[in-house]
Amino acid sequence: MNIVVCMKETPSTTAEKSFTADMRLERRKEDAIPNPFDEYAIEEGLRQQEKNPGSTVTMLCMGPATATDTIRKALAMGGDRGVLVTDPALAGSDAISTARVLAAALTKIGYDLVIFGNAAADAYGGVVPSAVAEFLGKPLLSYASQLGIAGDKATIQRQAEIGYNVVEAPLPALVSVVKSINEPRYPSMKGIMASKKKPLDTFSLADLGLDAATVGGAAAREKALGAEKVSTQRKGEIYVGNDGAADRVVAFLVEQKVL
Amino acid sequence: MSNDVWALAEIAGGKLAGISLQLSSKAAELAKAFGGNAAAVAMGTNTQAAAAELGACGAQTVYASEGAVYDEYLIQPHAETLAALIQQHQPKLVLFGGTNYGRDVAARVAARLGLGLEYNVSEVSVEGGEVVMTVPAFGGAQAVRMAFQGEGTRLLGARQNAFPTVRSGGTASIEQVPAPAAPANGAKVSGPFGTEGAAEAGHLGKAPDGHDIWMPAASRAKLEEAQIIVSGGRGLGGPQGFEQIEALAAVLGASVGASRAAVDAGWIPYAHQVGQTGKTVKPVVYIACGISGAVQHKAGMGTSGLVIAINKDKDAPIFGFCDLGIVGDLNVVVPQLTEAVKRRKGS
Ligand SMILES: Cc1cc2nc3c(=O)[nH]c(=O)nc-3n(C[C@H](O)[C@H](O)[C@H](O)COP(=O)(O)OP(=O)(O)OC[C@H]3O[C@@H](n4cnc5c(N)ncnc54)[C@H](O)[C@@H]3O)c2cc1C
Ligand SMILES: Nc1ncnc2c1ncn2[C@@H]1O[C@H](COP(=O)(O)O)[C@@H](O)[C@H]1O
Repeated sequence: MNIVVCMKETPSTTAEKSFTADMRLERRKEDAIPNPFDEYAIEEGLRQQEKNPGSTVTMLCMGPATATDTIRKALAMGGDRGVLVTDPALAGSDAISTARVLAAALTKIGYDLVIFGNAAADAYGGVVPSAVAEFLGKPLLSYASQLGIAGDKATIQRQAEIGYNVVEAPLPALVSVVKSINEPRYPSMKGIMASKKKPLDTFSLADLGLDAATVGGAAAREKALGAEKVSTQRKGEIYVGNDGAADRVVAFLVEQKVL
Repeated sequence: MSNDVWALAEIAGGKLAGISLQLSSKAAELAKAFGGNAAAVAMGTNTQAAAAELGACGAQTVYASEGAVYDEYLIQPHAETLAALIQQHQPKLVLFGGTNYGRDVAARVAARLGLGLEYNVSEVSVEGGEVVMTVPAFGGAQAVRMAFQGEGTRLLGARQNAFPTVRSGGTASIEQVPAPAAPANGAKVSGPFGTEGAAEAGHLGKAPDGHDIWMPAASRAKLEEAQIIVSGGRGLGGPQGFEQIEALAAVLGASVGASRAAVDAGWIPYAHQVGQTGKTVKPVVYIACGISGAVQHKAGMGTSGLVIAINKDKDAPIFGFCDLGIVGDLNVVVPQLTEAVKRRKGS
């Protein structure tokens, strides 16, 4: 089985965040990590490879040329090879353009099973997997908290308000996963060493046969007008001590006409 | 292109989700600003009943597509019907909810028709005949103003609870739309599971791996629709700690929320998580018990009407954004509060 994991490079969650002059998220190389939610996708790809002998796992990322380091971090967990789609014309791509590029790359690589995280920790868009599925004309099994492959069929438990739904689709299929699906492994020393020697291909737009006018900032359908700091501080009353605290809360709820 | 504004209604198992009414209300307001009509698109079973509710919340027209195929297959038939309707009628703007369903449908429609899509919008206004949107960034510390560019219908995904429900009491005219055939390579739903634990009263249950997990009462409002929420965090010390949260919630008629730390520890199901990677809630009152108030938690509850925090650490960040902060031990204060509310209600 040909398994491809789509992983995005995002700034680490603890990194100081700011916008560039043209209102794009400032992406500093030293802060870059694999999107934390994609670790579950990577782990699931590796587990499916273990369960389905003879499978290969490819890490696919669209990002800046330096994202090769981020792909190697994923390859340190496991997998066979990486593919980076990078091109100066891709800067400023919106989610739909990103999906267009990933779909073209997936078609070039070939796939039976594509695994995504459910959202990226930079903007929490959560729309790329479904858009890729549409470009490819394939089913998406989204928000999977469990995944099983049997024959040419993928079956998931889809996270629901209470419990879950069982959803199945014929392969080739796309799956997006939620964090309860697994516990991602830590890369071993051996894995880190091995990752350095794994093949990592780089595709440009031309390699994918895509026109620069259909992607990147040139094709973005949304633009930022500006940003402002928001103060969400509230200067509330602080009551210290257990004694009388409950009565103070009740009195407050009465003052506020909640009780 | 027309000046009409549409709302995508969400029907699950024949029931209209509350988000649909928020979107319909907002569509009505924006359609008025553009000088167009407000419409809603409802796909699934029981669309007639849904149309009546949507009409009462501002939709003048409801495109109703009745069919079991929408329950049997994930997203593909919904996207097909909606994309065809958009192509035919060319509305100015379509509103989607901040739910899994809304995201998955919007993304497919945007990809299929090559339209602009902006998600996580918390506010919308109309300036110079165009929508201007506010999108929170960096856990709500910044507000980014966004606009669309280029031609075509704009697709706008709202944050959960961004818009209030306005019951204006109208009646929608219904346009029937045929449902598509089952998709050839579709994602097929074989049914809901794991709902057996959905008892009326909150109780300690067993997770699939055998550990104890608190199952809140299923009878109360969904978090996104709750007027009062009592939330618990790591300070509860374990799943059993939710028992006192549940007791307070019961006397207040509140729903039960949780921090990610409590969810990650396996003390309560994910559906109760509030925050950046959980639900965005906007109750009248939010009571945080044993929650430190990390930015990711605040991102999901920062716009609540009133915030009350109970925490034993006077330096906890949550005291920086609450209306009433109690520096105290929740194990003492919460049970006393439950009793005090009972007394008050009894009087
Ligand atoms: C990408 C990302 C996404 C995230 N998304 C979310 C999210 O959606 N929602 C979310 O909540 N978090 C989220 N987090 C996690 C967040 O950063 C915090 O780790 C989490 O909110 C902490 O939960 P907590 O407040 O329950 O625990 P803690 O921070 O450990 O706080 C526990 C509090 O309980 C208090 N306490 C202990 N005992 C008592 C007692 N007896 N009486 C009174 N007070 C007591 C302590 O003083 C402390 O302040 C996310 C993090 C990341 C990196
Ligand atoms: N640039 C990218 N390269 C590879 N995968 C991506 C990229 N952007 C998004 N994805 C995938 O799509 C998922 C959802 O991302 P998003 O829609 O941006 O929140 C992520 O978890 C990734 O699996």
